[in-house]
Amino acid sequence: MLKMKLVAITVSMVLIAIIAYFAGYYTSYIPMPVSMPRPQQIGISKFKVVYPITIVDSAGRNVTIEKEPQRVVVVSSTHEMVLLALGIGNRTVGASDTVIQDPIFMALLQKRDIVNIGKFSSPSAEAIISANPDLVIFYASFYKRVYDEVAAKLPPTVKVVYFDLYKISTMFEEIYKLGLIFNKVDKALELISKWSSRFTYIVGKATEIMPSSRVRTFFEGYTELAAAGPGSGWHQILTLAGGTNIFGDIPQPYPKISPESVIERNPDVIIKVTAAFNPCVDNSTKPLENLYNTIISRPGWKSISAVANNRVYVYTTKYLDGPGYVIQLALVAKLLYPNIFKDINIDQWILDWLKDMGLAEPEKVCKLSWVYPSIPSG
Amino acid sequence: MKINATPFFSFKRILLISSLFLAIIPVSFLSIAIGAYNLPISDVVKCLLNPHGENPAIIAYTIVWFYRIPRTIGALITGAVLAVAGALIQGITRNPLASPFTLGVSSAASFGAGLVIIAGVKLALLPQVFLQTPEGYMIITLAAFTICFLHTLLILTLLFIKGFSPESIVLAGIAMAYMYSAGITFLEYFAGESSLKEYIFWIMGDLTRVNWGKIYFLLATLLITILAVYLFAWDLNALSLGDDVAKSLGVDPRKLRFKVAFMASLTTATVISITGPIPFICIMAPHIARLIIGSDNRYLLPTSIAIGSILLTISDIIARTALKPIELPVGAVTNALGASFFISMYMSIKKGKVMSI
Repeated sequence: MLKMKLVAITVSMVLIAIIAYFAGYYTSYIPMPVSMPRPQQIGISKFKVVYPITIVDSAGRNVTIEKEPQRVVVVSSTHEMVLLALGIGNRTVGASDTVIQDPIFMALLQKRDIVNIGKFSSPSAEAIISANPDLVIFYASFYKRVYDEVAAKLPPTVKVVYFDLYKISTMFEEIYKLGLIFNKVDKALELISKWSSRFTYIVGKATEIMPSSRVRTFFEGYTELAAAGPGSGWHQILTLAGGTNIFGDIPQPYPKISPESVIERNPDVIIKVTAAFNPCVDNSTKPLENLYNTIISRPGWKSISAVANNRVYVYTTKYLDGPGYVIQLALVAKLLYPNIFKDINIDQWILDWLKDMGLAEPEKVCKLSWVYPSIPSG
Repeated sequence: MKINATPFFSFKRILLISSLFLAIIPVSFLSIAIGAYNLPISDVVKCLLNPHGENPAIIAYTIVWFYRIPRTIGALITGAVLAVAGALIQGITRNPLASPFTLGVSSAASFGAGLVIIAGVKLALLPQVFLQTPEGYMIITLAAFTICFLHTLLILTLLFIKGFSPESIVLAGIAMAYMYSAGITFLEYFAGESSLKEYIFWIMGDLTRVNWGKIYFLLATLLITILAVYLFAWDLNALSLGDDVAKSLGVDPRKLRFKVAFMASLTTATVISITGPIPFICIMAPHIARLIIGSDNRYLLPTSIAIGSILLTISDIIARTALKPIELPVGAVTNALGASFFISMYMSIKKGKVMSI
């Protein structure tokens, strides 16, 4: 019996990995209807994990989990969002300051005694120990060396796993593994099937766009005039959404580029991202408007076709990490090709994701738009 | 040091200085002609001859008049101001490695900017998005300048207490710089990821921030600098012979050091509040000037103006075009230039002659 379960689990894991990996390359993919009915909620779990289990984390380490973890420390809000979506947010006993300082997370976690472990880039080992966790989740390919040092200081009873959860190539597999660790396989599969099918839908449609009609886009990162070059997550989003990055030839993820060169390369669309605006907490979209106005009033930018044709957009990446990455992808796709992707309702997807995280009535909390100006309807 | 042995109007020196100032013209033209946007030289010339172009919507016109000319003027003035401030501070401290940055001005400016970019955002006094708008940038500039100004007053008070000796100027400056760097470390540690990036961009010094609105401030600073050259050149010559000789020539070393330190700090503060700290120009330019023209401040200071302008403009051209369309911060280029300059100077030292004032 146990063997069969293990076989089933392994096979589905491999399948998911394959789907996630090749999703971007499917060309003859038949789009799935987007408005899928939600899977029936059943009281009894179909999958029950029998501990101990051994999983391979994204840093390639074998980790044996002896029993279901009850006290977890996370190092970023991305990890916290996935835990919330798996329905185990309340097991968080320690988190980095980005989680602690976010009122929405704190409301969702419904408790105030979560230990602040400091910045995600330099978490304090002592603070982690003081939270008395049985599992700590770190990034796998971001500040790995810092986390290795912290992990070495933790007592052996504290298990450590490395998961990125922000890279599309490994994200779904990682969610599945988290489902195994926390005995939430049903929930994990539900999450994966929902967001990976949406992902493949967008990418499948985007791959059908002719190379000649691909929209040339300037994607500006968080800092001023920092182009999202190859190696950055936004370059990947832009490419998957069927756009062409006007700075795709630059061998750097976030170089500061000359405003003259944007005029010269004359993009059809300009997209700027910010993390400093929270539609669920802030009072108005003024911050997004300010950024928008700053961009369009840069000297000489009126002659750029994106500015002349009113195709400049600013959006906030708040809560759009983890599976929310798929929403960013859909949003960019819709901004580039409003006609092709007119069946996608971004606001609905965002509300859906906030609901996944456990926010009961997101439309009452998060009243402001993620994008300025509003998304073209197509 | 033979100051009075050479007449003021030495033909050779005048010729040297005027040719250096003439060299500014081709360098400026180069700076206006080259950039990320490929403009034919003929278009550049056409735009230059037409300050009120018939059709301002033409891209070439915008590129030349709104990107390259303000930036070039900014580089010229910033270079000149920093170079003279460096020469002045080196004169009053009789220390070839001193500069306004030794007085802690750049640390003060960095701390002031950090207060806004990091602490202002952290304490939710300002939305972070706001800092990327022109008004937001103005606040950073004002904060940097205010802290610099307070710092100048503080350091002058410290010097007033301990007497205006060359050693006390350097020591007080270094002590204060350590204090700011402690504050900066503290700020950086608590900064969020994106504010930290924003801040690091700021402290690297960048001439992109110069636009027409800011050029008036820079021009005013340049005028003060020229006034300082006119006022202090002779007195600094007297001071270079030692405090006792200066006194016998009717120059009060304490008063002179006070005035020069105040003026040099303020001009530097104004400039780097706008551009961010640009290292090495204020040490390197006076040294090159000294190699060319000698130590007589009546010649040294004007030469520093020309050398500083040319150095910074060339550094900026390199920063803009070396990796285009990527823009390097100009501070990175001046740092590299400065380091190689000092290594070559060190290797060519003969009996300590080169580094003497």
